[in-house]
Amino acid sequence: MMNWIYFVREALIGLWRARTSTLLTVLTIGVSVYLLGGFLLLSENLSHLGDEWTRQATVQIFLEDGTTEKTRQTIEADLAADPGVFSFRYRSHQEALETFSRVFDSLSDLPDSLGDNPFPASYEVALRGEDQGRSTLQSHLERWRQFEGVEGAQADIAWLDSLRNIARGVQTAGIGLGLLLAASALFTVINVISLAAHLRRDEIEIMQLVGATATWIAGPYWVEGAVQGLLGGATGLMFLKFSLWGVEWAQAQGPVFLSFSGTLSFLTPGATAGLLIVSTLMGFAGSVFAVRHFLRLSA
Amino acid sequence: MIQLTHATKAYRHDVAALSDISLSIEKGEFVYLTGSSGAGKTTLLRLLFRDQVPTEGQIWVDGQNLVRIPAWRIPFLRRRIGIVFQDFRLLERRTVFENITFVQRFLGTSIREQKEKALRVLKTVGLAHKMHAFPPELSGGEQQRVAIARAVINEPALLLADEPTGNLDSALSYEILDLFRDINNRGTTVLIATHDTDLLEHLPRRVLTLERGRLVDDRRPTPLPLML
Ligand SMILES: Nc1ncnc2c1ncn2[C@@H]1O[C@H](COP(=O)(O)OP(=O)(O)O)[C@@H](O)[C@H]1O
Ligand SMILES: [Mg+2]
Repeated sequence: MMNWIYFVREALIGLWRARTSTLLTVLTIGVSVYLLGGFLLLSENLSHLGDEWTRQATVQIFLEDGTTEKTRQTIEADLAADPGVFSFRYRSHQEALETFSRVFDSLSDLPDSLGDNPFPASYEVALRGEDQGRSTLQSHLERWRQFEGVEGAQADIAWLDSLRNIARGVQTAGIGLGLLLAASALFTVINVISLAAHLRRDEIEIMQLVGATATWIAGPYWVEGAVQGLLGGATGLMFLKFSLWGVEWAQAQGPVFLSFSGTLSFLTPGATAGLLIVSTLMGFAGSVFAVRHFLRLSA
Repeated sequence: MIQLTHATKAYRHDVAALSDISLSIEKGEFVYLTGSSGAGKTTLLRLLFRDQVPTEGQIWVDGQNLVRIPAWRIPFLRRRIGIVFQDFRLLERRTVFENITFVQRFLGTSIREQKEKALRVLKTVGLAHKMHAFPPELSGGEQQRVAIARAVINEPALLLADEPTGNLDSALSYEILDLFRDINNRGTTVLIATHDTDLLEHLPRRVLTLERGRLVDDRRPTPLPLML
């Protein structure tokens, strides 16, 4: 206990004494945490966005030609009773054709040339938000496809899947880049701590001569590394938060980020704590490596 | 306490700083190690606190074989030995008090006890008023006395002193010698490297003489003839 107080005090003195290199190390670690955190943040928000859009996705239930009023009533009763369904709307044959003509003005002759109205009647179903994950959506679709008088059911979610893939890709790239940067930050810590120990080698030798153990000597350096890691992590996260505010502010001036109306979320408390712990451990590991030779006294 | 058998130390291949030294010092002895500059006194002391390993031969100190001692045991060996270095070896960025209590703070000695001990030993070397000074603010003689205070504060099993009076005037030298004698009387084995023959006369004890790395003399004082 006494020793840890001593280690921390010595470490803080050491860090302050070499404040320029301390600052540089902290910034190096900060940059890697910032970028790693930035990628995690981006992929987290992209996948939120995907969830959001999945929730807003509507489902089309296409009816067979010549469906009877009775069949339709059965379907409507079922939809009304389904707790997952927020609202639904019937779209007749005729209405579908009109929509097509309106949307694709230049092709408005097409249906005519095809003769019969090729557009089936359908239900447009909005699903309830909360439990609207990918799998519930699928199970709804499967169920509706079994209904009598139903030709097919589909939700246009293929592109949502690709959004998710992008999010996953961003995450993978981020973790890859993050690891690379972490390695360089680790390298910096090792060099800075080695240099610090080298500058104090006379002092270290004296301590060894009067009977200091390896731990007494290495302890302050271990704490120095961990503190640099912690400060670096905190700095990176702080700048990440500032950046997020910046994006939100820019967004408020006019949509820039995928014209997304919802708010952007910061890293989860778990991810934030995780990054801090990782950067602290990285600093610690770097200094353990840097001063490992104290653990083998020279002959 | 100390045993050397055929100990040889060569810093470089061809020249031996110490050759074929065999000697033994019992627990509680007070011994001088003398010889001209370059004779190998410092080298011998460095072998005894495992700062150097002999090129050949065996060395035993405080029951430990220093050729075989594992690295992790070395700090424990050194804490049983008080060392006064020829070049003092004080921590410049720490106060006199911190320097002499450095080991104790790790061993869980209370601050109160550390202060009491420090004050007592600093009084003996005449430096109680410099307790909170930093070594670079002290003269050579004062630094030497701090080094002595650090070496004796824990009443070690063995005291090794390399030219401990080299920077002191003779009056102070004798006082330091008396301090060593007191410590020796309380059971510490003392080995002092010196080329100052005045000391040997002031407090006659066993004298080992080195000459160009060889032990050429091992002499115990003859008891004074009874005056009639
Ligand atoms: N670290 C060293 N490297 C090479 N030679 C050394 C070293 N230390 C001492 N010597 C040589 O060993 C011999 C004995 O030196 P030393 O033990 O310091 O003698 P003393 O203490 O009696 O003056 C000298 O010739 C000296 O030059
Ligand atoms: Mg010498």
